[in-house]
Amino acid sequence: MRLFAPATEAEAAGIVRAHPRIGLAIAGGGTRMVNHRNPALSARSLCGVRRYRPQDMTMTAAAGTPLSAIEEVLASHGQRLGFEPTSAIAGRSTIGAVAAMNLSGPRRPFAGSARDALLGLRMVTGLGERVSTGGRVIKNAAGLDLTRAIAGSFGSLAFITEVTFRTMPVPAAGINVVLPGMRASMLPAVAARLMLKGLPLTGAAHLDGVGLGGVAGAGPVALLRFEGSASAVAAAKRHLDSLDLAVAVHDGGDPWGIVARATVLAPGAGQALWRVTIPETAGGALAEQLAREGADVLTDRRGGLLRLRHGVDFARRLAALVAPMPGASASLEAGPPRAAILPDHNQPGAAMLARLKQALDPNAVFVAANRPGAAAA
Amino acid sequence: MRLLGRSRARNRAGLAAALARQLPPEALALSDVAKRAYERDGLDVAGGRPLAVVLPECAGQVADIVRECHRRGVPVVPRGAGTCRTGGAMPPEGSVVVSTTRMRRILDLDAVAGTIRVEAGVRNLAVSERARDSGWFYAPDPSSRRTCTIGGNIATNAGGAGALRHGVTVNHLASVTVILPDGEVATLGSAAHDAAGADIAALLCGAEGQLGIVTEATLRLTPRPPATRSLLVACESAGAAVDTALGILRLGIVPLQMDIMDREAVALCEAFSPSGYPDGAVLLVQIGGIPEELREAIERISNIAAVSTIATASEAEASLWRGREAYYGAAMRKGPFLALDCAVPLGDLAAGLAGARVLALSHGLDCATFAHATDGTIHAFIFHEGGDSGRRRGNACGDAIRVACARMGGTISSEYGIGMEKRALMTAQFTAEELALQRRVVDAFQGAGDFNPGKVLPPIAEAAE
Ligand SMILES: Cc1cc2nc3c(=O)[nH]c(=O)nc-3n(C[C@H](O)[C@H](O)[C@H](O)COP(=O)(O)OP(=O)(O)OC[C@H]3O[C@@H](n4cnc5c(N)ncnc54)[C@H](O)[C@@H]3O)c2cc1C
Repeated sequence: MRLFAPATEAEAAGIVRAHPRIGLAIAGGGTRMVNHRNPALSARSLCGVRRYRPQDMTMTAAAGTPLSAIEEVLASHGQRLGFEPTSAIAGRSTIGAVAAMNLSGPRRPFAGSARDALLGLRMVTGLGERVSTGGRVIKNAAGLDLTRAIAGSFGSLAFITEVTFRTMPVPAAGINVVLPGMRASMLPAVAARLMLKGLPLTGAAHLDGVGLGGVAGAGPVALLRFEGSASAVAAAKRHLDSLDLAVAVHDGGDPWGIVARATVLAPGAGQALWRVTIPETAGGALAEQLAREGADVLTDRRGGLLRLRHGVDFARRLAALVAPMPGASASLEAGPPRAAILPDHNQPGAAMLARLKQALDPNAVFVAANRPGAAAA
Repeated sequence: MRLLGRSRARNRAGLAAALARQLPPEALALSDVAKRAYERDGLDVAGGRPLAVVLPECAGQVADIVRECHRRGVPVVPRGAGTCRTGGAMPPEGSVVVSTTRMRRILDLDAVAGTIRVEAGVRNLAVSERARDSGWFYAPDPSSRRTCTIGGNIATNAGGAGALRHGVTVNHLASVTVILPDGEVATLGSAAHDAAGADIAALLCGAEGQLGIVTEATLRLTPRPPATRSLLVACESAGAAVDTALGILRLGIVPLQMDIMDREAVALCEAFSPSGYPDGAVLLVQIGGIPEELREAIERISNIAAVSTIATASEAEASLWRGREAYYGAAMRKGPFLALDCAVPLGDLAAGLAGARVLALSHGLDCATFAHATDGTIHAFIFHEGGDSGRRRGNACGDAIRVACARMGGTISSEYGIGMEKRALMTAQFTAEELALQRRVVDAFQGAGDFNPGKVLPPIAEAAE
């Protein structure tokens, strides 16, 4: 496989124009699989923060800039990416992949997704045009904004060369709290009640049968996080203490890294790890059902994201469980290809995506890279 | 594939009859009075006389209408409440206006998930009102929220002063049902986070009705803060107010709203609706959260700024904001004016405000400005002597300010959209290639249809086809 890694946007445009009919697969930092039959175009050499002034509350960087470098720069100014970028391979993801894969973490339901924070981008179209879309300011109402559609197209529409994200201040205080014995189906409502009290909830997860790096036992346990001003976090703790629940402060290690990467669910021989995205209010109940059927389940995002480990043959059963649930979808995250769950062929928006393809890449220069989770082995 | 002139005329003639066959009588307005009422939007410049105004009450009727127009080559103009300030909802001669004002049902509220499903004609504020008892509110809060519709909000990606903390419309859209220009119905996204199709739905946000008619949406709600406080900081100048505002953000405090009024704006508002603002520029800040947290925030803000008023009760808060909210009325009383909505990066807001003032002076015009110190929006009000020549001079000045904002890395419009009014300015923000790409996308969606023609994209890009 040939790999192009242009160092400038102009060079990238030249490569696209020189390959009008070959089919280029777009790769990020190499942390995700691409289609091996085609030459690949990588943003890894497009590197560097292009514009960052903390007072703007935005940051513009070349697509191949390592996420770790960006997080470092932001942290030195007391800021961060609010959506808690999380990738399977920590440190090696690029900021372009964060946009393209929508790599948001446990803070997703409370602070928005990666693409919610994405204000605009620069790209090379299939015709080799070098263009920008969206804006670099917090609010922009000028022109057709293709930002999210491009970012959400898994490299099938254009090659992203630069991204602009909103930034957020790092809160002064934070606390992690464990609630042993809570059932998964209670998570969405318990979290909603805390949010509506004005408490600064920024994480709501539930584990069943997997423990959390030895901190909690093997029984069901909820893990909550509060982040905000010192007084708001203290108020959250006081509120939980006043309830009749066995609350324990969890202060060792980084439980949210474990939740986000599902490291406690690494599949063994004959097993697979799947992810299910689902409306929050249905997620908790599905988690309980999956646990009853023998799966090890990790629920995140207040019920909106499930990770489950089970025998490879469970794929069929999982697909059948998820299919009738409105808005829910399942995919394989780790495991042998035969555990894959094929995406629904009637993907909403497929027809509209085809119209966009016609406008952005009429000669089909770009071939879509694999979606995350789809046969990632 | 444009139809030839004569057959097109015949097609148009038959349209009213065809619509009358398909729609109940109350959904069709053909009288001159009715048509005239829909010639304008918030820009208040007369457009063309539409062939018909239709007021469907469900998505099925919208699809029927769109198909009929598509078949006959008749342009369609989607319309919500018509508060658009740029002529975006203004019909060209011989088009069909599809108004969503009879699609006003709130379909369901999920108080645990914090989602609400509404028809496109539901008013923005009605969403928050419906959600109030369950503790949620709908965060994108344009100043026009009492009247503007969710469909119009989606089409303009509307956002208010709370954009820094909570984002704009696109950040709260879980799913949407849209009738595409050929009459095809698409439902995109779902109540799950980041569902398939959601990013394509985002394309409709800010498309100003060129890609289809939104008929229904599921919106994400935000927890309503249990308490709010408002502060007033008297400042030497607008520039000093910006410094203070950025200082508050540096403390890690992200207010619900944070507005700056320059000396002229304060004087204008005090003359119209006295709110006790001191002479000079002011910074108005509203923060939200639990009471302990608000106390802490006020203490920290007081360490860096001379806070002169702290309003804790809701009536006191309302009276503090009254002047700022009466702004539009105050401007109207002063005389003919043009209201801008351009924006610069937050760190350049002081320079942007100063630049706007210099440009107004150099055009020999008065200006009074307020700004959102949460997102860099500059609402400069440019006063002119009225009439055609006054309007021309006002527009020339407004255009110069918008272009200057775009050059600073900002935008010619952060709220009202482009519509008809600002089409020619698009070249200040986008290259010819970028405009050509936007045109190709619109064309790919429209096919042979014609949806809200003559909007957003500048005539040059059209001519270059
Ligand atoms: C006093 C005042 C204050 C304002 N303040 C703000 C503000 O703070 N922030 C802000 O963002 N805007 C603001 N606006 C502008 C305006 O209110 C918004 O753009 C609003 O979203 C328009 O909604 P509407 O229902 O009135 O739509 P309309 O004016 O009827 O239409 C606006 C555009 O949307 C399209 N459209 C309408 N409905 C649909 C639909 N169902 N499907 C597809 N397209 C559709 C129309 O074709 C048109 O292009 C203000 C306007 C006024 C008059």
